[in-house]
Amino acid sequence: MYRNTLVLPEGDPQWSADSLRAAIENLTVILMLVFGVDTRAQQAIRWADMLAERGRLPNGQNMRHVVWVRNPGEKLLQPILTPILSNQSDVSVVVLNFHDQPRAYIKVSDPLTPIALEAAFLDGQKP
Amino acid sequence: MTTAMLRNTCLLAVLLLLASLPVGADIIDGVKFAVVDENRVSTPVIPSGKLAEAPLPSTIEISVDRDKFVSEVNRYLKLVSADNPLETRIEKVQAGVGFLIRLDAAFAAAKSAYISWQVAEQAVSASRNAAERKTRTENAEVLKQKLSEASCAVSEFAKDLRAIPNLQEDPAIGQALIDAATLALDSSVAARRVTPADAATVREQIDEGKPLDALTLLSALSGDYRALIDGLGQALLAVQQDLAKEIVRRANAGKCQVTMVAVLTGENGGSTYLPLPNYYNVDFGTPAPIPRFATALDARSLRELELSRKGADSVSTFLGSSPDGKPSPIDQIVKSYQDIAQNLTAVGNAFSAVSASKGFALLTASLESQHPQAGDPAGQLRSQLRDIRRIIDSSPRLTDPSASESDIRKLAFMANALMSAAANLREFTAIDLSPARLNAFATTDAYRADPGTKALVDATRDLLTSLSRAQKTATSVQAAMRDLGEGLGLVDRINTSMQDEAKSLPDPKYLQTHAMDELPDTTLRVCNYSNPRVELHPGDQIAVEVTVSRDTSGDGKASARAHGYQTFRLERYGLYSETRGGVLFVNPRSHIERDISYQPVPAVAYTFRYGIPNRPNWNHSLAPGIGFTLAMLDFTDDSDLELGLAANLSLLRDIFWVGYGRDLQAKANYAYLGLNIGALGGITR
Repeated sequence: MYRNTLVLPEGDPQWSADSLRAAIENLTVILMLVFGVDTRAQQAIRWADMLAERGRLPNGQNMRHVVWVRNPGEKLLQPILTPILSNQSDVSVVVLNFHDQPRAYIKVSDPLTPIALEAAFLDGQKP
Repeated sequence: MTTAMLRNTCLLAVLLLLASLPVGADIIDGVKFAVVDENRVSTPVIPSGKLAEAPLPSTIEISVDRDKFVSEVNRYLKLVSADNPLETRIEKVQAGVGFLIRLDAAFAAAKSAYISWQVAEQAVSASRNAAERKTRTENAEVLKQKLSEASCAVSEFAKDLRAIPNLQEDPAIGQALIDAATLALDSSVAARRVTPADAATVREQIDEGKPLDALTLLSALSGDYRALIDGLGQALLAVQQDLAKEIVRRANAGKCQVTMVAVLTGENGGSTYLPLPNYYNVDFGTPAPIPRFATALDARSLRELELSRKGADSVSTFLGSSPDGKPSPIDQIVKSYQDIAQNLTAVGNAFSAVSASKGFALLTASLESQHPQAGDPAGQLRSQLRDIRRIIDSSPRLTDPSASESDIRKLAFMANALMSAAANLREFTAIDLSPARLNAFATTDAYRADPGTKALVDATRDLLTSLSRAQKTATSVQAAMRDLGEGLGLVDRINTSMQDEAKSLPDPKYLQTHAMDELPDTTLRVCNYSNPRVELHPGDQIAVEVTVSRDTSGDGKASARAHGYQTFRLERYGLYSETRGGVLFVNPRSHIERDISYQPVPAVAYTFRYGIPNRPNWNHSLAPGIGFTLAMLDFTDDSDLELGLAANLSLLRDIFWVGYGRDLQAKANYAYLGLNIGALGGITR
């Protein structure tokens, strides 16, 4: 069970696109997008969801949020993801700041550790 | 601005800079002090190189923080080199802990800023009218900017955070982090931040012995960075303990010894080593109570009174000649000095005459032309002549002190000139001028081979005779100088300073040394002692000095040392009284028969003070006191006993007195200015 993660279903592209757009447009969170369905992505989601808990506030709100984009190649998602992933390739994780600007990328070739994910979340604090 | 002003300004700036530099830590940082007052209230004292205050009476409990102490000792004696792996580990972990603590604080600040901004945004939404919305929007913008700044600070840590896994290269650190991770995991499950299933997965990874995963998981599991900080903190402790053991092992191998003493320094100078159980086992008899209100003159005030009596006599002497028409003592001393100077000039002239004589030149040339040989009498004679020449070249002469100088300056001038001339004369009179050496020289083959032998021997004998005569004069001058020196108190001064020097070292028979790993606690009783009589007064200082010495040469003598000390200044709080001695310069304010103006007399003061905690300027610098003085006056010839009683105000640690009173027998009022010579001498030490 993920407490801080929105999982986009592969079987409903329209709902996924709407949900992703809504998540990105929420300007009160630092958003981490995790791409893919392989073992690495699953591990990343498990750790990212735990790390997002660190952003929990006393009032129950969370300033960190995670979205699991299981099928980033989906046609309806492309208009949303293309501006975020411009000039980047083989990205497995991207972090957007409060203003929806990408601030950290973890590529497929980069080592994936919770420390790397936490550092990416910290980079997401950059204005 | 003139050059001088510029130079002075630069000098002042450099001094201020030096004064502002932090004082380096030393081995005293490894010693813990706690001052326990008479109500058993304990106040810890952090050693800082600054004066700490200790109330009277109190006890100072002293214990040693072993790990810190050995670490500081190592810094000074370099028992373990800086490139030791343990040192490197400590540096790495310390850096890691420091980084995480800063990150934790920055992240908490960012969270706080986030909440403020969210609340402000909600307030904007709830605005009831346009004006309110505008104001709240502006407020929200400000808070958003603050969030942006706080977030920016947090993001700065992202890069350094990635270096944390490198710490895991050290197995001990890795294990400490795994332990911390396990604890954090349990608390995370309890707080429902982690599901039992996830916890099981993590435990599985830990059990597989993957330290890197354990570290990273730890950071992932915890609600904040505290668990990671705690884990690293434990690792740091473990490594520091390893290092302490290593230092102690090497210290014991190098015969390191630790001593501790407590030195009491009175306001008027003089030092006493106080009993310090387990470290300085001197028996000072039963501790004596320190009375809050003095009822009798104590040893310090008696000393000051004696000093004042001498001071008053000296001032009286210098102020005028004796009534029977004889020259004053100072005039007599100047006369003796002038006689000596005259005789010394005669000696100098004799030297010069000898130096210019034909015999001296012949003998010197003859001896210098010969090649020196071991055991050769000519060699000895040649060396002797060189000494004589050197003395002649620096023949001591005394110049008269300037007539316009004050008497005290004249005395100082003459004392210095005599000391310098005496040193030269001592050298000259020590030279052996007996003819035996000359005769030994005259029997050598080299001397016989000289064609002018007879003339040279005669000239040399004349020379020796002249020199012996000059030497005798010099010896008599030296004796006169010694007498005058004694008159000037030089001998006393030298003897006193030598005695002070001897007192300033602890007696080794009471000193107990300890190995580095067995330093017992001790307690210093800040109180009076009956035998020998040791009195403590507010303003006195006690320095607790720790010394670590190490035998690096193997000959049993300590050759490497590290020192550290903490000084306590004694204070008395509330109302208390003291007795002091001083010189009063008394000026009659009523009509009396004798013509007296500022008559110097010794006096005793009974002074009340009020001590306030944490007010060092009040207690020790300004240190005001009010009370009364008693003095033996001499306003009239009709009465043998004249007692003066006056109200007194003292300032600046009892150095300056001022007061107004009445001569009870002469029935005359007087005002005075007073000076405590003992206290004044204390601040110049």
